[in-house]
Amino acid sequence: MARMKFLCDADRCIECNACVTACKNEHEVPWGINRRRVVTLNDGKPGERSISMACMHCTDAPCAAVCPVNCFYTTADFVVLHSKDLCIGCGYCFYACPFGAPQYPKVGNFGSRGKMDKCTFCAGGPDADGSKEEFEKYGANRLAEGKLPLCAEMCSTKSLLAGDSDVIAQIYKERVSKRGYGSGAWGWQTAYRESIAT
Amino acid sequence: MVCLGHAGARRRSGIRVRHCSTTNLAAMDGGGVFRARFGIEREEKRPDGTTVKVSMLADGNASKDSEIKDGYPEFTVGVLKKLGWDKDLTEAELAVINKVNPTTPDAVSWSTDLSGGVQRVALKHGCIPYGNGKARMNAFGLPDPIPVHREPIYTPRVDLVEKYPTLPDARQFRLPNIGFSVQKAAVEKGIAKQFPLILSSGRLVEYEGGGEETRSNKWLAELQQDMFVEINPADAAERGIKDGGWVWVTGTENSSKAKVKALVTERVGKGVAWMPFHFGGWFGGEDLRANYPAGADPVVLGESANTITSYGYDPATGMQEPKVTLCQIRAA
Repeated sequence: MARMKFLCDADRCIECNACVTACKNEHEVPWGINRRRVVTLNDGKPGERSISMACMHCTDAPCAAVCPVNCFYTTADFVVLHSKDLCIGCGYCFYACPFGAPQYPKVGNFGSRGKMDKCTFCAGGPDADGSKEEFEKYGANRLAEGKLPLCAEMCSTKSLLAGDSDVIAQIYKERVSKRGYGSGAWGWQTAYRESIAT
Repeated sequence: MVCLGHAGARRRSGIRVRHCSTTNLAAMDGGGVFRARFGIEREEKRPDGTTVKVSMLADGNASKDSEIKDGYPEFTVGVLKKLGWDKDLTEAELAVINKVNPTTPDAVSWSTDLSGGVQRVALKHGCIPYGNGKARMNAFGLPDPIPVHREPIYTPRVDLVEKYPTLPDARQFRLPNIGFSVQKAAVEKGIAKQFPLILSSGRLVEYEGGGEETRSNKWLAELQQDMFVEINPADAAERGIKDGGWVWVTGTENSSKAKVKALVTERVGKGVAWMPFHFGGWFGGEDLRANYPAGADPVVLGESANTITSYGYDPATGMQEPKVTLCQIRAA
């Protein structure tokens, strides 16, 4: 099985928000919940950089480590998913996550937040693949259909890559070696305990 | 002619590029030349009053592997006949050509030939269907054939208006264009003192045009929820304006005013403000959502930038002046 990862090439992201819009539309994510977002640093200044962020599907995911009800699981493709049937909306995962990925439908403490929602790498959840229940809770299951996450598919500059770790790392390495610079695969050290040597 | 712009490319590739276009490629490989769009010959006046005929076609250059090594006009069936290339047209193509113009099929050109045969034959001989002409630096027919500096109608540099005025008042098509009078009056009234900030407008990636359709899309509307004005931190500090706070933007004409949020950013220089033009549904600080027919109101409403933009029309096209005007901004 492939080791699925995201890679955002910050030297290419133009903050067009196509990834965010594609995600919202594909999974019918409600207003206020952001499974993916584009973060811009030094906005309007020289050296401005944007990066598209979502759940990175960490190796040894910290959200899973703190979850009191063990609602997280890792698929055979190393995608970190969770069960909304088990989630109690405690918010611990939000504090544990280094990427701010977990989202909640309501503001409040502990159980009053509602069920946690996050990026599924377009891989749905524990319900039957492609079922109505799965779509309503987790959105589309593109992986089960043999498709990659729509955010990366939609990326206008191919800054955001999603797919097998070895393949996307190779694409990034070739890109950096051809253009002669690269700021590294942002978040990889935190999420996967590894970096791409370029 | 050797294009100096390609000096670097020549050094790197060792190819002698003889033209500003991609003449180093064959037509079929994406090579190109300047379109022979403005006739093949033009009569030009000389300073001594005599006239001289100047060819509008390329001189001694063409794209790689072109069978015609010089300039040539746009391709028509007639041109193909002169070259003896009309024999390459298939019977099916000729049948379509005769249908397009039954009386004078020779006049059917690459752009009107529905069979595509004229284009196919021209390309087969390495030629570009739209002809091989000269590049024009002199856009004859326009009020300023070669661009010159003209101060905007509402300019903060009133000292430059005398030397670089806008074009004289004139009747264009059915309408008067009184830009010159408006510019003169603005200088005399001292508008620039009351409205010291240059205001420009532009687009956001999330929205399109006036924004009515795109602001009705909830996925896009969520990304840009408020109409705003970008203002430099120095200008904002002078006016006590905070990032994200409400401000009034006032314009030079008709006591125009708009209530928008401030985006304090170095993206605009000191003395410059910028607004996106995708919003509507508010006017003069008032939310007019109730006036929309039921179910037709976009998710997000806001002041229209065009409330503040002012007089000015392009002399050739009549396009309005939404890019340069003056404004004042104060905290609301």
